[in-house]
Amino acid sequence: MDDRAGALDAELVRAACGGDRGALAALLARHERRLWSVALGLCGRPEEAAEVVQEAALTALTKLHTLERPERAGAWLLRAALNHARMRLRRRRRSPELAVEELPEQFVADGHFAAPVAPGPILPDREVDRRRLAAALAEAETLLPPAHREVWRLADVEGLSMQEIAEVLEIGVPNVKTRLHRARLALRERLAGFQGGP
Amino acid sequence: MTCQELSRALGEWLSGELEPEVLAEFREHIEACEDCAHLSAGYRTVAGLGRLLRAAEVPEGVARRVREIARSGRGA
Repeated sequence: MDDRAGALDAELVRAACGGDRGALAALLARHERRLWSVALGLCGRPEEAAEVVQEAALTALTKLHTLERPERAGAWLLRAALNHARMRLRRRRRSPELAVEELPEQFVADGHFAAPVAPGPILPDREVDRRRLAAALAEAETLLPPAHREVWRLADVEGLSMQEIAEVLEIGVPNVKTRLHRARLALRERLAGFQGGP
Repeated sequence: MTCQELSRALGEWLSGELEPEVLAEFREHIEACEDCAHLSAGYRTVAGLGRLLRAAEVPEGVARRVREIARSGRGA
């Protein structure tokens, strides 16, 4: 987020903490699309995502005064939504996960692949096939371990920078990069061989 | 550059952060290695396709509820 957006957020936070409910509504309106998109992506169910966004709004209502850096309200709100989504996901039965650790046996001693790498996925020309591939990607994403899925969502779906993701998740940038890299490799492997067309 | 080194450089390649000399090695490698050509192309596709999964807008019912929470000062 740029400095101007951060300054506007800080102004709204200060006004909201002074009792201006319109300012709180304006602050939430500035960030609700991203909160919704991330909540929907992680929960998968619109009714649950709606509850997560509402819970994040409630967190803002009751805890905004604890925010130490008002100019970073966007990251703070996103962290609140992620925490609410995590709590819901923990209650679900765990499904099988894609392996994301780099396996030493993938490479031989000289650093080359031990087995041929399957091609793909290849970006299809037709829009309908792109949509099919995106749907397959959305399904594969649910198989990622939660920590990798969150990073992939924030980076490749929402377009946040590595620094912004590190701030939201309260982890280091190298850790963000590692998780993102492993998530992409696991998704690629899962979708390798995807072909467009009937 | 080996396949393993190339695999580890994919993130920086995609974000344009590779130093010019490393980038040259990267390109040289994928021209000669079919495995890494497949890997890098698929990696780029997966990363680029994520944008299609982004929700464009908030349903009006959700936005209205958020406004109500902010303005009323009460929980759900």
